[in-house]
Amino acid sequence: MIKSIIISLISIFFISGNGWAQIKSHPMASAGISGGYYNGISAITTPATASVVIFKGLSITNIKGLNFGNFAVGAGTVGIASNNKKAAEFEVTGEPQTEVKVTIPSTLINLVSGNASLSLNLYNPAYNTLDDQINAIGAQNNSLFSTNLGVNGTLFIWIGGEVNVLPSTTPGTYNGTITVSVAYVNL
Amino acid sequence: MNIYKTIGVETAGYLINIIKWIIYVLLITIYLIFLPILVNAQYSVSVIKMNDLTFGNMLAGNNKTILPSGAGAALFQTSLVRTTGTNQGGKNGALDITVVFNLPNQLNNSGHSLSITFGPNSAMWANGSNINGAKSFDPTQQQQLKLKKNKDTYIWLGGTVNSSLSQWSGKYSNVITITVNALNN
Repeated sequence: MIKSIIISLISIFFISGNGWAQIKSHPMASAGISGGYYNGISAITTPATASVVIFKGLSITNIKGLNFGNFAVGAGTVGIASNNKKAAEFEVTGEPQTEVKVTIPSTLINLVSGNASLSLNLYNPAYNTLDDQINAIGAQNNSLFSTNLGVNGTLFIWIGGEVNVLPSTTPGTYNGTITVSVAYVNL
Repeated sequence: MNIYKTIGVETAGYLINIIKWIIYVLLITIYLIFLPILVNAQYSVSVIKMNDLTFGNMLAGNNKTILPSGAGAALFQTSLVRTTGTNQGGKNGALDITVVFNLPNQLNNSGHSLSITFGPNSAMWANGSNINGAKSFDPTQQQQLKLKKNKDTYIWLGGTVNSSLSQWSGKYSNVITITVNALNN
């Protein structure tokens, strides 16, 4: 009886020892995973993509100024529409067919002649991807609008405005500066 | 009845007891052999790309760096996937793995290229998806990590692109690969 039990226990140890050896030789088991096997697939590779989109630098050039010409003191309100040939014109160049934001920081310009000054109120600009003022689109706002550059990467902007020439206005030549900024929307 | 007659009642009882013990031993042995198969889950390693490395738009002549913790960084998820068996949840075991990136040194666009570089802190890893507390590492070097059975390991990758003033505009891209190796330790 006792002899049989001893033989049986030795058999148990011997046979089940194969199972233990299998776990111990396994990476997962040796790494401390209890009750787990690693199935032997040793290398997994996955691709990803690195990407960047390069834009050309933007530039803006003043082609011509806003020129009211001559008029008499006390002429009252004198305006030049943005689709008028006397309107100021700017040309923007950059990445073709890319959206840009055009900003006119100040739409109330102080024109100066010596110590005298005259206020210039800017109208809503007109713009076109071609140098075609007649078919230009009128912006909905006088200080900000967004649009795409043309297929050649160009945008033309025209800006008109008005001055109020009072009887008390000092005669002279009045000058001021219109500033226009442009930036890519998605940059 | 014949056996009792032949070898006697006492001897027969002794033999029956031996047979019973042999049966017990056999049953226990079979149980022990198959126990690991029954209760142990089998696992494989997986790695999944969650995000590409996306620098977005930039002006020619500029450089742009994406930090591994920043928007646009590539993200990979590495897991131990249970393929068979019963999940032994709650265990804190881990598998040693190595992570190797195959990184390009340039991005391409129709015959044009710009350089891309990776620094010693361009990659991070963490057990879990929370990048807070993640550890930095150099993606140009092999990195050894511990992949936990009950928590996925996440790996983030950033980098820097460098463009010249005369850089041809357009979209530049290239392939990054990540290879995860289970160590046979």
